[in-house]
Amino acid sequence: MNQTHVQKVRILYKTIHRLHRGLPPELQILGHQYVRDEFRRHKGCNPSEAQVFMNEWAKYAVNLAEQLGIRGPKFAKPLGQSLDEQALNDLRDDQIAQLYELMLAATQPEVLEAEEAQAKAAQESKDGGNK
Amino acid sequence: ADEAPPGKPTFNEVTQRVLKVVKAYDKVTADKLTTESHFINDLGLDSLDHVEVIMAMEDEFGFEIPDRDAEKLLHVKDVIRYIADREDVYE
Repeated sequence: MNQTHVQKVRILYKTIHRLHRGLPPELQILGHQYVRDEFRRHKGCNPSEAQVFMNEWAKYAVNLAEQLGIRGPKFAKPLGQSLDEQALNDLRDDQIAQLYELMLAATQPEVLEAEEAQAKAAQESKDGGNK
Repeated sequence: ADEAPPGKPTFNEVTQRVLKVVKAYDKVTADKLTTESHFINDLGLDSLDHVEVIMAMEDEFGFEIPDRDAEKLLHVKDVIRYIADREDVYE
């Protein structure tokens, strides 16, 4: 079956939205908005960029389908994937910086929570000691 | 098991539900919306929005609309007719 470019984009777009329904709610919101924005940002891109874009998102869909365990729960894997060295080398310096900021922002609450838990534990042992 | 089958919607109900779903889509301004509206030319949506509206229809009516059909449903009335045919209701 020969599909036009628009048909392929539509099908990929729908597939990704479908897969996102399998994500935990907080990731679903993030993913939904990101896919919407990214696809729209690339509406006017040139054909070779479009090809890269489509390939990468198709890969994403395949990976996500595997991670979500589309072939049954036994096949499910943890969500997410680390960037390999090649992918990191392909990024510009400012992109690396941006990624680093993102990591800090994404992991900070956990650090805070851990510190709070520690402080609480310390407080409790102090209280216990005072009794 | 002896429950009565759920009542078939009327054509008018299908129409109202389709309009409700379109209206609920965040990029549609309701004052321009009629059954004659063309999603792209009249409602200012793009083909990606159209995919999302069709998905919302699938959620509302509980069945899948294959993309080869969906891409032809460019007016609100096309969607209404498609769903009414599927639900076996007529004007």
